[in-house]
Amino acid sequence: MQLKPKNTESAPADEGIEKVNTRAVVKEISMKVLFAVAAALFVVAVLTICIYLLVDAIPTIGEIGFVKFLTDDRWLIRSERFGIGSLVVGTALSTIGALVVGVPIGLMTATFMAFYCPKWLYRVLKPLTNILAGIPSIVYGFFGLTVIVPLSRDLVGGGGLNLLTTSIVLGIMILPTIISISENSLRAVPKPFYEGAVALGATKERAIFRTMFPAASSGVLTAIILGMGRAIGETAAITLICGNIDQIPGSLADPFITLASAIASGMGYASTTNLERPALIAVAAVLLIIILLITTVVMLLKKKKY
Amino acid sequence: MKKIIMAIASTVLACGIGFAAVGCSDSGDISVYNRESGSGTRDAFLELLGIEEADLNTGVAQLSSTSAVIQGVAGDEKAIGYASLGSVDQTVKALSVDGVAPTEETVADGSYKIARPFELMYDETELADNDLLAEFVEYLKSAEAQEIIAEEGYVSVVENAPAYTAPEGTLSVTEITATGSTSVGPLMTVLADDFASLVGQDVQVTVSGGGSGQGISDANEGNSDIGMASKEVVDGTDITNDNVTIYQLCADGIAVIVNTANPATDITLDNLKKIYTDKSLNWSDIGVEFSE
Repeated sequence: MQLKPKNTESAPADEGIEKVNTRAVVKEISMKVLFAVAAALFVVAVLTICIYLLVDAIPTIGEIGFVKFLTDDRWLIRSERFGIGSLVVGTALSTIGALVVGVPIGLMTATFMAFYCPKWLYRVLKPLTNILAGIPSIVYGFFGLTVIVPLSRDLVGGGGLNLLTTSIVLGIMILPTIISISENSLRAVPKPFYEGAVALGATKERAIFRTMFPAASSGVLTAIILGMGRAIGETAAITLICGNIDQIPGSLADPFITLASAIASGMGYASTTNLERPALIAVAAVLLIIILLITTVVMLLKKKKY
Repeated sequence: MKKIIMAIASTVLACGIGFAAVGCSDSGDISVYNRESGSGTRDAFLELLGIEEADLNTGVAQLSSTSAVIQGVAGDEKAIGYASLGSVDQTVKALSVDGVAPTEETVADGSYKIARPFELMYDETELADNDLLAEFVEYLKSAEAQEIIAEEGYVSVVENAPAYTAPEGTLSVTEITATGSTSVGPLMTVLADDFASLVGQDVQVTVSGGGSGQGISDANEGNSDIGMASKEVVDGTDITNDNVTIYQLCADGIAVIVNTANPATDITLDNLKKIYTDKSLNWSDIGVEFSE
């Protein structure tokens, strides 16, 4: 490599430039190829997961029976009752519960951080949300098991492993997602929006909730939907605190089961020789489809400005 | 937009609280704890009680480990659950079944009704090549191992076991794996530690979980050196690999556990079956009165 520059120096000037140019072009092309390969690998990984899951799942669902698979509310691996009705309802209810807990707190915190927070406090709060986002979910599960479960047992009775407990823990888990994304989108709204509202006589609160929030609505919605995605796919924490009962919960005090927790608690036992393992893969495929739908919605929302 | 979201949110919350207040009334006050579908302990318990899985009162929780069930029952006054006799500790109370207390003697002589075998599966043809596996199997059949089995609260099924002698030469294999039942796992870990100290060489038996089903399939497919199962393993149906030998390590009683605040000391097999099939049952229905 070191010899080459000497050669170019001894050669006539424009020939040297040409050589340097070709070397730069080669370098550029090789880097382009490298980046393309990296991108291709990632695309291949995503496609492999999707295709593998769907290809494996479709025959299994066919064998179980599509309608039975979706509507049967008993999930008994050992008795070969593979109905994901209670799993889907459980996932939906726990997600709604998480949103009920997480969205108001998250949005109000984001408002506080974007508009009311003194600088010194912001320097504390911002890292705190990052820490909250970084805590492994199993730790949330233990927190739920040792702190929230006894509370909920006192509050609504029963075993404490129920919809209420899960909603609270999940609500806390989705906070960092909701806070950071909605705060960023609130901050991205141009200042004149706010100033204009105040100049027209609006109070600070009015300016924030009537001007800034509508302007940042797509970002706020993205935050909520991403939080929803996290709640739907959450596994480790939920498996510890939902109770894993394959029933549609009739109240907040009832235990339930989600798609993800059914996979997690069944995987250790499921036999590959019959429908047990394939059924779990089919559940994983359903989970994947739900998450893909949510990601699509987020992509559509992102087209807006803030 | 915000107002609509908040309105929906508060409606859902209100409905939820309303449900919570009403919904509790249709089930009894017994907090029934189960293991999850597929667990060896659950399979054994249901089979021994003669309960179909679809009829099972799934209760308040189906937990994925023995310790989680014990922890759950320990923290819930109205709870009932089941766990391996060997893993039951002071935090919960084990009930007598039909007047027979769950002890080693009653499990060994068969008078305690809810008992099951701990089975190990290994490839017979591997023993020639894998000297560590051969040595460990020899140890498992020895008097030293039986002593540990008894110490851990399980029931030895080997009579007049010979004393274990450490190998003369250095073993060529230094690590073997045992996978499967999480009920057998804790006992195997203790046995493996004792074995390592007796051999006096740098060898290791790695014990990991996965459940009885995993243990059986690992043994069939040769994924691990020893498969562990906490239920009866049938040669020919469960074990399809002809080279695999089944060895019963010991017997284990499944203890019926309740909270220490529960005044009951005995339960009939019939009542136990009722509790695990009928959701509406209260403790008072089977004659257990809590002092409030």
